Amino acid sequence: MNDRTPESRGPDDPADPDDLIGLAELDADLPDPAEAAAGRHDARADPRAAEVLDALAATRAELGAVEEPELPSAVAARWAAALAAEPALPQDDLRTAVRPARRRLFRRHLVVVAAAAAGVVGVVGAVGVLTPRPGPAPPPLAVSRVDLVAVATSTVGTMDVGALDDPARRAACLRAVLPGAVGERLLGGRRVVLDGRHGVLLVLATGTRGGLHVVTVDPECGPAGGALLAQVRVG
Amino acid sequence: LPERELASPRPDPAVEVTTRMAVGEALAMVPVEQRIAVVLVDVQGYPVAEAAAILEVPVGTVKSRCARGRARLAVLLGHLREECR
Repeated sequence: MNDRTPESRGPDDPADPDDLIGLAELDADLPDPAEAAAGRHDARADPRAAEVLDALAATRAELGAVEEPELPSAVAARWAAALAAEPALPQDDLRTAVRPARRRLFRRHLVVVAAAAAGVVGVVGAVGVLTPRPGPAPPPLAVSRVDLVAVATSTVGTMDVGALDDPARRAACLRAVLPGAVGERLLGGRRVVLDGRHGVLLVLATGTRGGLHVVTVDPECGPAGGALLAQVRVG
Repeated sequence: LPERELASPRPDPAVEVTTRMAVGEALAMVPVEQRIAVVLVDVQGYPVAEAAAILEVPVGTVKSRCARGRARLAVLLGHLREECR
């Protein structure tokens, strides 16, 4: 903010761009506490500053109200194919793969974030260029219960869940076997053979940052019911 | 005239789509570093510290990028007048 007094501007004058950035920095909690306190004091005495702060609050509210677009199933299928084409890790390497996988997830997320900000068309276009055409579905991954978390982490972004790709069927399945997970968002999933039994591993968002709910159900799970093979919460 | 049912409390889908498009178009006009910071913090709801960790930049950098991005968006979205750009 500059050193102009509130009285030097009329109520209809636009905010100075420098003022705008200064107020936006104040709004973003950027200045140190003493400077911020002085800035807020000044802003309270200046109707124009208050108007700018209100506008910034309205902007944040409008951004926060934007729902993320659903990932088109064709895009999800291409992701699944691209991830399936990655070289498989030996079972012993699954634990050490967690950290790199998490970093890849962040990077992948960033690509989506950046593209989503430019519009859904951008997402489809970018992914279409970067990923190969879908091929045949990979075979189910053989896992044991102790590996579930590591597998789940590397499964985020994969979408190979068979009939549970249908949101209605998936919701009905979860309602039947694990009602508390019905509202949780699907981050990824893949067909597995868990300790010798066929199943579908679903990675669900718990609503807590960094939290995952890893649920494995039988492949036929649906409105008629199903079996919960395993579940574990992470974070 | 027959009594009409009360309007659904859910917002009009057309309005939602229009708003999303307007926000998307506005975001596309913001420099990419500011755009990513704003999307992570304001759209996706990440805490600033977590956004900083994801972007591998200091917290203050995220705050600064958010501040500048929001300032530009406030104008682009019509919350502030054009002269403020």
